[in-house]
Amino acid sequence: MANIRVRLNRYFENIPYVVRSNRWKTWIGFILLTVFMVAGVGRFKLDISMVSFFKEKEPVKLAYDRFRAVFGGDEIVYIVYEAKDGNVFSPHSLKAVRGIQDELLNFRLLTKSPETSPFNRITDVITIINASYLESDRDTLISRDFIGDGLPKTEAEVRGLQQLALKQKDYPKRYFSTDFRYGGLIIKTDFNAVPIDALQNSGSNGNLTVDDEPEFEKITDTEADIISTDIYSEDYLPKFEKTQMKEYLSFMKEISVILDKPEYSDHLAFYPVGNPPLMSYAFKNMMSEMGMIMLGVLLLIIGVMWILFRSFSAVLWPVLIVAFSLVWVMGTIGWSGLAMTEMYNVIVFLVLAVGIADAIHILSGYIYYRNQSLSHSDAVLAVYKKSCLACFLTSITTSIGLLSMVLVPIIPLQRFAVFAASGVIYAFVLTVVLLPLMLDIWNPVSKKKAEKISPSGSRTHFIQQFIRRFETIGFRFPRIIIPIFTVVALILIIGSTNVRVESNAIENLKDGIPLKNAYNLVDRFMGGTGNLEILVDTGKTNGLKDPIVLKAIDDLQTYLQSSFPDLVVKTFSLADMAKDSFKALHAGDLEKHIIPEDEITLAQTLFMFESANPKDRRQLVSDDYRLARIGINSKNLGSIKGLKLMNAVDSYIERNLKPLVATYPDLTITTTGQLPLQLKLMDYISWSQVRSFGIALTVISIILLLVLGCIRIGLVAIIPNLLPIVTAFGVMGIFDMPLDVHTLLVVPIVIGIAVDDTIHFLTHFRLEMQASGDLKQSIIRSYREAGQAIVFTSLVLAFGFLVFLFSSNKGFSYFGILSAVSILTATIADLLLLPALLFVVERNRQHSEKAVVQPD
Amino acid sequence: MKAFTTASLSTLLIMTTSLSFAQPPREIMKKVNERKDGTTQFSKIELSTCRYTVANRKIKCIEKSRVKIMESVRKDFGPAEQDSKSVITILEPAGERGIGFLQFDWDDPDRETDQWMYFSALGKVKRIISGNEDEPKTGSFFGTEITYEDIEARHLDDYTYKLIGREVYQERDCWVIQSTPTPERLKKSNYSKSINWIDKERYLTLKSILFNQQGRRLKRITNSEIKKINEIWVMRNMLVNNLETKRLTTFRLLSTAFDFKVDDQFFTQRTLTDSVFREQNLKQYRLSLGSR
Repeated sequence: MANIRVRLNRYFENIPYVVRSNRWKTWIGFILLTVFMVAGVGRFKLDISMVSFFKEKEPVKLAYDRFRAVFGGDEIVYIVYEAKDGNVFSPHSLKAVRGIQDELLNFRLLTKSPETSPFNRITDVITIINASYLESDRDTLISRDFIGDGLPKTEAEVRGLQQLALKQKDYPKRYFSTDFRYGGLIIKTDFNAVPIDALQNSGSNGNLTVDDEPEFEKITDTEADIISTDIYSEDYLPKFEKTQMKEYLSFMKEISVILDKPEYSDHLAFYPVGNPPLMSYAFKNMMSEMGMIMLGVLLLIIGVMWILFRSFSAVLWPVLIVAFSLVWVMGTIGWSGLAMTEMYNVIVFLVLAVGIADAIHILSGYIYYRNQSLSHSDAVLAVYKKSCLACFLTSITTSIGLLSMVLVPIIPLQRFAVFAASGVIYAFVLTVVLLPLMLDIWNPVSKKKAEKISPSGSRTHFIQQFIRRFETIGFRFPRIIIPIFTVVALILIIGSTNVRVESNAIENLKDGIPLKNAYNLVDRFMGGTGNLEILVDTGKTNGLKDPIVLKAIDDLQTYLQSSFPDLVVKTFSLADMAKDSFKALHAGDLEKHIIPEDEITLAQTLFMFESANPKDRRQLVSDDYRLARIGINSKNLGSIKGLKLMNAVDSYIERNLKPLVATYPDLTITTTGQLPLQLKLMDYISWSQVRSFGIALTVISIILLLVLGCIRIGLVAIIPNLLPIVTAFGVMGIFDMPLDVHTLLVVPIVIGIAVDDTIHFLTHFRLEMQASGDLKQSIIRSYREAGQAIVFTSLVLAFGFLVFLFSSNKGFSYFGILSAVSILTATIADLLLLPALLFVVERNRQHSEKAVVQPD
Repeated sequence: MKAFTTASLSTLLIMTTSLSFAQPPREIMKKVNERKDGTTQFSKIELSTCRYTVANRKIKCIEKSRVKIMESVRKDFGPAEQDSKSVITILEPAGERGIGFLQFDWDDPDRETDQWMYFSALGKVKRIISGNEDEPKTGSFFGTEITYEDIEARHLDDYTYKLIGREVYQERDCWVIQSTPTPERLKKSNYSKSINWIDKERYLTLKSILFNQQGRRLKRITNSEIKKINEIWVMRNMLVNNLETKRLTTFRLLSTAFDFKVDDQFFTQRTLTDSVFREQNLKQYRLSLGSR
């Protein structure tokens, strides 16, 4: 082991020689690589959709894909509007709604460049005006739009319309609130739901010329082939085109252009919710927050570097290095073709904050040696000899901590892990390779050295003085320090048992953000924003025309709505349509609002429904009546309430629907939709946590043991590194911060970073012990040599993490606080607990030794 | 003739021969609309619909086609045979057997189509109205991708026509004519325009592409298996490809006969409700198929 250390050390020592003698080659190589990376930056993609969190073969995702394959996209913009005159049925309100509906539906006729309009993604727009309506008047059946062109004119007509609308089971809380103050406009889109094979048919087909058609002709033969693929087979699951984040942004922008028109905004106030507004908001926000985080961290770094070195070059070079590291990471991500989530912000931060640490260590060493009267070249060599290995080791441990997240089966976390780790390594490589060349061009000491005798004296003074106050505490009061840390750790461990795993994208938005208000409004007055889909695959063509099956579906809906009145707002399925149609066939007789018991009667009822309203039929059941969907609208549920609901659904299905297996042996019932996806994610988060940090901890401990070359000290070293983990969970539990995809990042990041301090401290300690064998003296020396850098890097990181407090996402704010607190805990533990432990352990070993060398 | 009837169904399928020389597109379409289609017609029809995907530039059904078989009887009325009445009854599938339609189409543009539907399992006749006044008709024909508008006869004056090309299609010389509804017509139509491939020699529409209200290509209708029966051109296979819903309906004329005697009493609600009466008449009409 010692051998490897020596060899590594020699290798790093050699770097300044090598890069200097190949000065131009190095610069050109760097520039070429940077140009290559810059070219990749343009390919950078963002994707924060829920589906992007899952692996391809994940069952919940497969069920969701199947759902989209059969029923089309489920991404809607639900615009809730408030009537300024208090009545969404007033002529003014209805006129405005119809105007918006027409503009959205007929955008092609209204815009100059319809081909490029974001509204091409609209598949349908449904409002109270064009809601499908089946009316029966004695022996007449009328299937029509609910209002259509005939807007009400008189007060009485308005009231009549309101009463009629209230009677439609699926209208209230979807198209209007029961007090008529709010209305709802549904924009259906094909975001993330366009099968890739269908792409060739969509797109530019507006102005077909004769020349276009023969091309199309080849695709669609006059005779279709016989069945070659089965929509239910495993083979047939179309890949869906991924919607780019900027599409959401431009889509929502175009919608606001319409909504902001005075003819609409004078009468209505709008509150859009749904995935597109959420994505658009997150994207917009992420961009501005990324800028803010970069700027904040850069300023912080510049400030710290200035305080530390008081030299322009000492600020400029490190900042340039981390900036280039960032470009390289972005380029790597771009070239990889993989989409990133908003966790990219954390990568930015890590590359900047962790990357700068290497530069701090090397620069402070360099200045230290220059102050020791070494020449520029000698100082560079000396610092590489002394600090490079430690920088390398800390970069490796940090990367390992990050890479441990590869084990979590959540795609964004895996990508985050790989790219953040590569960023840390880039920063290390660029620092080590470029810094000597940069210092050759311009170094922080050349002028000052001539002017001042000891420029470092006054500078380091206050930090050193501060640190010196603590340097003896560890070994003077181990009997106090160790119990205090133990008690604190116990409190935190108890606190950590209260950690709740919960994820709720909306809940995570900070209060007061318009989007969050909109969601709250929809939950309060309308149908809620949560969504759960139950897919019933009978395995038989026309299985859904069986009255027993439809009855079972109907009972499930009744059960959910009566058992969870506070969670489930609406449910809808083919059973509802069968009941409505049967009632209509009996001239609106309420007693006939039932599912016909006779199979043929049901078949003919459904035939009537399908003829009258093929669009609604397609939304509810597959063409062959084999697969149906039960849609459940719920309030925006966190994962805890969601789980309760899901468990109820599952056990109900087990009890009441599974018996149908006797008649339908191939019956399968699966749940999908946003809620199950969210719950699956939670499932991963809770148990993957243990595994990922367990492995990281093991690997890092092994590295510690190898680096220190001493099992005893290695084991001691692990203890202060457990504390930040306990702190993260304890604080989460005590302050009720949920464990979610954001706060999940804390531990792997902190494990890797916290151990850096320990490595620095113990490397010095070991050298001192080898040199003097004096325990207390070694602790004091280590404190003085490594303490300053430890405190500084920790402060940079802790304050850096606090920049995330400004995020509009509570998850990131919690992430920032937790990381900062954990890092500071790690530093305190390294400066107080570690010496105390070292003292106790080492003293026991060499109990004969008593001499105490007092400092100064 | 207007609105939805079997007669109109046939108008898409039956066309007469005519001379072909340079003429304005409106004249061409006039000839297409006014081709001979017989005074009465009996047909046995199979409609099958499937959901499809496009793979390797070919359409493939991804589920079992839903097949419906029905019989239809049509008779034209009026001095110029401009109005028509028809009865359609479903034979298959079993659950829908006996469901019947009675429909009156009127040439008078102000008169709405009259449509009744009979539900055999309930023993009820219902008058059917689809869509508000002055708005496009909603609903589908027998749950297929064919909508009522697709099968109604078009009034020549409701559209303006433009010859946009000449092309060989299905090995026939064709005119390619774009027809655009007048603003008045547009209000009631699901389509903002159509492009039609017209067989120069036989005045048959071999292919139509229909564009939705937003100007997007919505449906593609192709006709094939053309045969002359009783001096009337019959296209026995029609494919309606809904490009939006990715569904394909195949309309097959299993057998058809023209110009046999049909009692006017057949076109009453009694035919729907009284299966004995209906069967008696149908038995006779079926005999005429022998001449096919």
